[in-house]
Amino acid sequence: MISLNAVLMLSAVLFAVGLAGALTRKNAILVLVSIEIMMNAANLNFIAFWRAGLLELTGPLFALFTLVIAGAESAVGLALVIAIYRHFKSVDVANIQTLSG
Amino acid sequence: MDLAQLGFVLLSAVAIAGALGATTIDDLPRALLSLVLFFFGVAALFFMLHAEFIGVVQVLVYVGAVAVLFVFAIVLTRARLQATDIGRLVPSRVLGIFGAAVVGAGLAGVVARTTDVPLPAVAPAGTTAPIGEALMTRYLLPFEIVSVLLTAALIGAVVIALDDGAERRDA
Repeated sequence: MISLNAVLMLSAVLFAVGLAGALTRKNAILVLVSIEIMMNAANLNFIAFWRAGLLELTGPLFALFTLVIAGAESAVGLALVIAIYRHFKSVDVANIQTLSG
Repeated sequence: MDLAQLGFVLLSAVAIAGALGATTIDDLPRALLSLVLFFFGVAALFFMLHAEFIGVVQVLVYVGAVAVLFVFAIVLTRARLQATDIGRLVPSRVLGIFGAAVVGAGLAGVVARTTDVPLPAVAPAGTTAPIGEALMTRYLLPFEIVSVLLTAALIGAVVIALDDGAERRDA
């Protein structure tokens, strides 16, 4: 049988990979991609705890709400990326250094 | 190693490979395809953990909507990679990888120190019917709030992405 710790360990690895991507990527779109990976890793934990019988229905329900919020977040994030691209002609996060410019 | 463990190891490998591809490949469309592979890997893991409803929603929302949204963002920004984005270990990048490794090691250390629980053979109730019932009874208020949030976010996204020139032409 699969143990709870195996799933939690996988989730920790995925979260670390996503965090590394979010900290090292220069392209704003790819930073958002990395954030999605971290959200998925967190969701995996909710399902794992529910499966182990530690969370009642809260596990899948919280995962469901997280999915909705991740969808809203990526929609707003990508809209911001498009607006920033129109202004700066670049999506490189290192180039975007001015406020209200 | 029984069949469940073998399947779990394989699906974990798929998910980790997808995540690594999405965070390291510099070609945007390929990184995006790698992300889709990661989403499918996680969805398959949800199915394996008997959370079928969440697995289906994962495929619908992530692969069906979020991935397409990313494709549109790439097309609309014509995002070209800067020279700095291609495989160079600049100090900030090394620092980022180091920080993520520290966080990952910390999480893994906490997991390793907790007592392990084997997952029960029978999944607890919590697939489609109980989830739907809970959303209409005990979780009705959060459900409505998240609907309003999603609507507001989508309208806000349209407003933010709206072309300034088009706005001026309309006025």
